Parts: sequence; C-alpha cells; structure tokens
Amino acid sequence: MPEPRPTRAKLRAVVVGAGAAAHAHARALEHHPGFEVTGVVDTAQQARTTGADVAALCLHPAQNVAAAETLLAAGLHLLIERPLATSTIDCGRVVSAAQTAGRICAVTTAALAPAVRRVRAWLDAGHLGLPRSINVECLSGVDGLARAFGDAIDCARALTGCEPVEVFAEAGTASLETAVASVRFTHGVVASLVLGQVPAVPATAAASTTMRLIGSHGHVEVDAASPAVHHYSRDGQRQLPVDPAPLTATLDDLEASLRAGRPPAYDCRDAAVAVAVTVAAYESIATGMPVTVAADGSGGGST
Amino acid sequence: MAPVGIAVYGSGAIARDHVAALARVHGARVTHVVGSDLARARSVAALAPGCIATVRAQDALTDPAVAGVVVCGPTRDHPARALAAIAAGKHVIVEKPPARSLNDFDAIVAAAQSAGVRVMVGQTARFQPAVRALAAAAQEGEIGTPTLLHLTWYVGHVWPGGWHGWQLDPAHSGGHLVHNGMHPLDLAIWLLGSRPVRVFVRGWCTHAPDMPTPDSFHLTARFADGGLALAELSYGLRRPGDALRRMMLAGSTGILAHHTAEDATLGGTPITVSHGSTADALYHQAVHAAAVIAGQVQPLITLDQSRAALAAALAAQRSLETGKPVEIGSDA
Repeated sequence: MPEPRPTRAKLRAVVVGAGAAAHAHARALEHHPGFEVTGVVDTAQQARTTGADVAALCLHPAQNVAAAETLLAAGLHLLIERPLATSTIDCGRVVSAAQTAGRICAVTTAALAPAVRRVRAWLDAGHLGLPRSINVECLSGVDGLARAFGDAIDCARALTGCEPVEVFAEAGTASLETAVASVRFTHGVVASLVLGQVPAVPATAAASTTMRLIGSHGHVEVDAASPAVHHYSRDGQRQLPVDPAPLTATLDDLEASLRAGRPPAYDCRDAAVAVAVTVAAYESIATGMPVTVAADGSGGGST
Repeated sequence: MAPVGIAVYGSGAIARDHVAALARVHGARVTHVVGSDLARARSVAALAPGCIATVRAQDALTDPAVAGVVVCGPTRDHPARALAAIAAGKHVIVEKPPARSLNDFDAIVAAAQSAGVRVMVGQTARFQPAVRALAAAAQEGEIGTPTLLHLTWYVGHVWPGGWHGWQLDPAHSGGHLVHNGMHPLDLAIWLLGSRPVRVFVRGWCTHAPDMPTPDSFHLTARFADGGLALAELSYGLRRPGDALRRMMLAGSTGILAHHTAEDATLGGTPITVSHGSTADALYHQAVHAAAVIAGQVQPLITLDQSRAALAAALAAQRSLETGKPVEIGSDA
C-alpha cells in the first residue's frame, strides 16, 4: 500500500547537527515556503521524537550511516549533507535502509544548481548533440578535496547522463591541497577534473564551480554561480545571484518529490556513485594507476 | 646596421605565417623560402620583399647573408633540416616539436654546441599577449609559488589537407600529443618552474571516429616539485574559428586567471578576427627570434625546457596509446 503523501501546507523538518552546515540548512529551510523547522538537535535519537516529516542530517560523514538507519527506520525522510559517507560499504547501507523503509533519502549536490540543470535541458533537447567530453573545475577557499571530487562527479554525471567507469587521479604535494583527475565514462565520454582548496577563489563567492562540455554538435561553458547581478561599491564587489542556491534548489526538488510521491532528482544512490568515484580516486592517488569504478558504484581496483 | 638575414625552410601554412611575421620585423630580412614545390615557395616568398624562392636548401645555407634558419615542415623533417642549417653555421629556430625522439633532439643540441650556434624551439603560445601578462605576474611573485595549472584550449579543426594532412599521421607528426601536446607542456614547465615526472592522457575523436590521431585530449601532469597541471586540448569545435582558451594558475598566495570570453568579439559575420588575448603571437615570436639570431638576447625558450617538454610529450603519446600513466625519468 503506497505511503500517504504529506498534505500539510508546510512539511516539518528537523535539523540534526551543530556546525556550519546545520546553520545553513536551518536557514534555508526557514526561508523555504514548503518547510518549517520544528527543531535543531544534536543527535539522530533526539530527532526521532520531534514529529518531523524530514530530517536534515548535517553530521560528519562518518556518522551519517548510523543516523540515517535510525531515522529511516523511524519513518522519517532524509536530506543528508554531502558527502554521503566515507566508504562504499556505508553508502550501500544507507541505500538499503532507504529502500527497506520506503522513504526518500535525498543528498545535497551541486548537480541541482539551476545553471547545471539548464544545460542538461539543452542537452536533452538535442542542441549540443551527444556529449563527448566534459571538464569540471572546483575551487574553494573552504572545502577539501573529498567534497570537490563528489561535486565534480555529480556535475559530470548530470550533464553527460553517463556513468563513471575508470578514474586516474593525482594529488599535489606542494603548498596547496590540489588534485587533477581523468575519468572515463560509459559511451566513451571522458571527464577531466581540476580541484583545489586555494587561497583565493576566482569568483566573488567562497567557491567556484565551472564546467566546459563539448558535444558532437556544439559546446557550452557554464559557471554554477552565473548568471548574477554584480554589485560594485567602495567596499569591493559582490555577486547577487539570479538563481536559487543549490541547497534551495535541492529543497524545491525534495518538497516536490514528497508531495508527488516520486523519487527526488538526486538521492543516496547518486551520492553513492560520487563516493565510489572519490574512493577510487584516492586509491588511484595511492597506487599511481587508473582504478575501475564498479557498475554498481561500489568498490574499485587498479586496472 | 644591416638587417639580420633569415631563411625559412618550408612553404606550408606555418611557413607562410612565419614569413609574413618576419617580414614585419624591423631589423630582419627574409632572404629565402626553401620549399619542395617552387610555385608554392614563390607564393610564400612573395610575402617578403626581395625574398628568393628556391627548392635547393643549399642556396640559403651557402649564402653568407643568411644568419639564421627557421625550420618548418613536417616534424619528421625537422632534425635533418636543423642539422643541415647548423652544419652551415646558421642559427636555428625550429618549429615545435623539434623532433620525434629525444635522440634526434639531443643530436641537434650537440651539433649546435659544437658549431657554436644558437637553437630555439618556436613555442608560439608563450608569445600570446595574455600568456605573457600572466607569466610576468607569476614570475614577479604575485601569487607566491605556483602549484596548480589548468589550461583549456578548444578550437575548431585547423589542419589543412583533409585526410591527406600530415598532421593526422602519427608517423609524420609523432602523434597529436607530440605535435600539439608540446604547447601546454612547454607552458606548464615555464609557469610552474619544474619538470614533469608523470603524465596520463585520454584522447578522443570528436566527429570522425576513424581519425588516425585523436583531435582532442586531456593530460594530467605531476611535477618534480609536487605541482600539478591539467591541460585539455580540443581541435574539434564544430566551426573553424571558434575558440575557447582559458588559464588558471594557482599559487600559494593567490590565483591568476584568464579567459578569452573577455575578448571583444565580432558578431553576425563569418569573418575571422584576432582576439586581443592571442593576437600577433607569431609576430612577437618573430621579433624575439630575430633578436636571438642576431645575438642580442638569450632565447626565452631554453633547450632544457624544450627537452623536458619533448620528453613529457613523448611520454604522453605513450600514455595515450597504452591507457596507462607514464613516468618520466630525470634522464629521459
């Protein structure tokens, strides 16, 4: 028997966590017309009894699997701050728990940024032909490489519609935390990634994510933060976004999926692929060899 | 002071560009165009006043008015042409790549040292205005120590000759990683100030799957000092004249970035116009080449840098062919 869909004007959300991500989620939920925040708690156990429809998990990635299993079993839907987990085994546990509970388990992602989805719509309409290659550059003054790998893979999957097969990665050993990677996707599509935690970002935001895609019938470049209105003053320059932030776009999709009873555009199965590629990339960095990503997104092995 | 005499060995598309650029250089005179087809050599020589077209290299090499030779043509011919010029006591500017093997390159260098003449590989990208500005800022310490380079270089199909173009044939060109991989590798070596120690490449044919060499590739490079570079080159944009060039150089204290999207563009017309970011690079190279031949300046592109770039390009070609990363030894 299908799960009844929420009919309340606002879905009740509880935020689990106390760090910067938890604050960002609470703020985004409070400003979102489809949600109301019923509480901000430290642990999954505390969230079980709040009567919320949805829990936003903003914990250390290593804590996600246990918290997700607890809350899914209690009947809550989830929005998990990325990365989903630190291992493919843990990702598999979350995916399994969501399936067993019949609950939605969405995960934050750069792939739902409106700028990315617009380009995907152009691709789906056939304007660029078949994707042949994509480059993703993720530079941040804050986030580390694990998150950047996931974001880059999410964007590459979202735009090409193809799945990662093999990754080769190099990590810099100079003063900055940097990496470059080459990823082979299904249908012979290739992706190159440039990732770095840098002292200054080539944008007015704290992070910059840009993509370049070449298709059989055209090419396109997209900046996840564009378009924007630029504000110039004696104090400098800042960017006033035109589109909703990726987190707001994720909440839009989550609300729509809960109301319609359909899967979200990006969920824990997608996030598991991002983690699998990240794990494979780190194995490649350690071994100096290309590493395969299994078709189910799990495991890896030098090729 | 008499202008320095320079002969151009070759009469193809690049040779034509070199002659046109050298003809504009104050203090230089193009003396000869040496080609295998006299009519084509004449049409190229016509770009420079007083220039002689010939099919006999000896006409140029025995002329005491010739101080230097710009070596063009298919890559496989570069070593023999360079060695002949060196043997005649001429300074040499050799188009990139200088050779298809390190042994051939080393032979050129050894011969030049023995003869006391200067040799420089023509890495035109170094003379693009945007590259020069970015490199100058990096060398002045504006971003601390450079550690991460991302080069994007997308253009439309540029090779003449259809399926018969020598550029498509790895036997003639050394392969696309040698033929054009030299561009980003030379820039990376220059901008990061270090030597590549491992490369990995994937290549693909954007439109014509039966191309004997991929029109596009991306390349990861690890450097001896721990720096990284990713270069992505595509000669597969749909329209000739299309271009997307981008540079991002991250250092310990900042970033330098450039994008040709900031160039003024001419919309609504099929006329191809130069972008300010890249305009006149070959002319700027010709000015420098003439000064090198005249002994007025040291070559901007050193032979050590060119050897490291060629070694990395050859390793990159092997990576393309094997699908594996390739280590580059310090003696490679």
